[in-house]
Amino acid sequence: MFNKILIANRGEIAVRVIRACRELGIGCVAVYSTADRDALHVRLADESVCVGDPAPSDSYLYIPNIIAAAEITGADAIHPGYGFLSENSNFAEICKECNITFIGPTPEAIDNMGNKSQARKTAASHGFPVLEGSSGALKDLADAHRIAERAGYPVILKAVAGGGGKGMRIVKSAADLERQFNTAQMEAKSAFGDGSVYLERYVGKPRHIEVQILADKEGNVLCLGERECSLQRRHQKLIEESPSVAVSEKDRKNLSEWATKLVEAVSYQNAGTVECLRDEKGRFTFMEMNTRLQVEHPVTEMITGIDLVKEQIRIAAGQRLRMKSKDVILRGHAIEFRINAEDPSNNFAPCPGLITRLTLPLGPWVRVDTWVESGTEIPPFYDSLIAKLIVWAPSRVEALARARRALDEFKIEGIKTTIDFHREVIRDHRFVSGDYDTSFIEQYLKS
Amino acid sequence: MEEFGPLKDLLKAFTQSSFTRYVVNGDGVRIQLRQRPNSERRASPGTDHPKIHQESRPSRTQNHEAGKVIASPRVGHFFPLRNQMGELALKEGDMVEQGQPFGLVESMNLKYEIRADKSGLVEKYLIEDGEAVEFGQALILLK
Repeated sequence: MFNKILIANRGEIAVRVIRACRELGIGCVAVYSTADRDALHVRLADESVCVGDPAPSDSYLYIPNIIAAAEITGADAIHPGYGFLSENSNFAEICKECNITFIGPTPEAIDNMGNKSQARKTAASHGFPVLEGSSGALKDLADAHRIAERAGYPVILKAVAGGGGKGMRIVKSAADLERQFNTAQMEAKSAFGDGSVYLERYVGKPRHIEVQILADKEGNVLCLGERECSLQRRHQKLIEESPSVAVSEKDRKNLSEWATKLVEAVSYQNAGTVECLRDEKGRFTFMEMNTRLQVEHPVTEMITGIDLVKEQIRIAAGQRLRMKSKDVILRGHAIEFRINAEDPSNNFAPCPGLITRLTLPLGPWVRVDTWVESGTEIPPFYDSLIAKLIVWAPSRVEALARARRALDEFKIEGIKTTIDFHREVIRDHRFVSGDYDTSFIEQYLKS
Repeated sequence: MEEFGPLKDLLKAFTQSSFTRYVVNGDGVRIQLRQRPNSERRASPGTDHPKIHQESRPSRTQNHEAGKVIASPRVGHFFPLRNQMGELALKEGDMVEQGQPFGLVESMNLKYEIRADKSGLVEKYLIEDGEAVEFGQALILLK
């Protein structure tokens, strides 16, 4: 086991990892930027090292100072948390060269799964359903027609180089394809300097469902059920729950089998998440794999009783998984709410500033992962996530009641947050019924 | 190799000591030994966690006015520049010019030259030779 772990992150996830280290009896080192000198993760750690100025590129992303911090403190492993360097294969490689264990997958696995089209091919070749479509850029209009017929209308055209909706076109019928193909190419060309587009089946009423896996160095894989993450705004998740009301026992078994096969095929190690789309007909397709711990990992922890961060550390230290997928019991229902320092009435604009008063919700089966306290100044340089509220109950109905109760107790004064927004959303009948998809939040905001 | 016996003994005594630096001069021979400080950083980890909820952790830089110190721009182990005689290139009482190199910070087996970010009269070094430094840590106090 490790003697000392350096946590290359800040905020609630740094605090989360420090707590796991303490419970395992492992020393921990915090790193911080000059903007985070008084932050909770710095105070909770055994040692701390200032690694740079506030801009992430000067501190939390500045690899030489992060590695040097591990060297001067004698840390033998680095936990990257999520974001920052967590999916940087170059960083994982440098750790390896410096004889520091990177708590995560191998650099090769990060690269293999980070390349989305490559990951999709790998998934398809191991039996994971993928969206029918072109495997790469469309050659010409005739190519587009041929592949669209095979995938079945409606189809969607997307820029190979892009994201964020640019060069994206939904095509309802063959008659409409030529015009939309030309427009998509032009948009892609002007937005990304590369006009190539690809095509796939359009998914109506998509739900974002993801599967949590753990894999040890001996190739044992543990599948820990799914998380429903469809409540998103501009691809930023806001509320996550597990289990998903849209996943049947049979679906769960299939997802587990597909994810396990994929993970085994690429000799993946440590924690990972397989993201899927579920369409309105209940068909699941592979989207991508995230090669790190997720923000929303606590909902899985709450229904499985498994501490994912401790498992990550044990796996990185070479320990074998202590159970099999068939022994995992998914118990009750958990929901997580992301409390962001943002103003929902002003297009969710970030709201850094001083928290003058903080009242955390407490009581049975309520968990808050946070780094803020009364008197914390939220710096403007980083992600606006300030807390995660997670509730657990034996059933979804009871979990919703508990969530309402906890959100009503949760008070943050001095800055704008998403607490009141959550309080409204969970009273919406569509959320209560569970009949929602990834467009729900945008629709809710318009109504 | 018999003549290295005393040197080996000296090395052994030095590595077991708490000294970070030891210099012997004599008969035209100069021996300088250095080792990394045997501070709490090297303590066997996981044994004690004394700092939970420690209020206002003492900062390595907070006792000095920012304008009166030269701070480290990097994380690593600091070594002051020395001349061929092993003497400090920049001594207490010397004037330092902005941009003047005065030390090295070593990390990832690379040495980075550290230059003064301001001019002034050197009052004293605030750090031992070979000691670990963090970003922004005061290295030299100016008068």
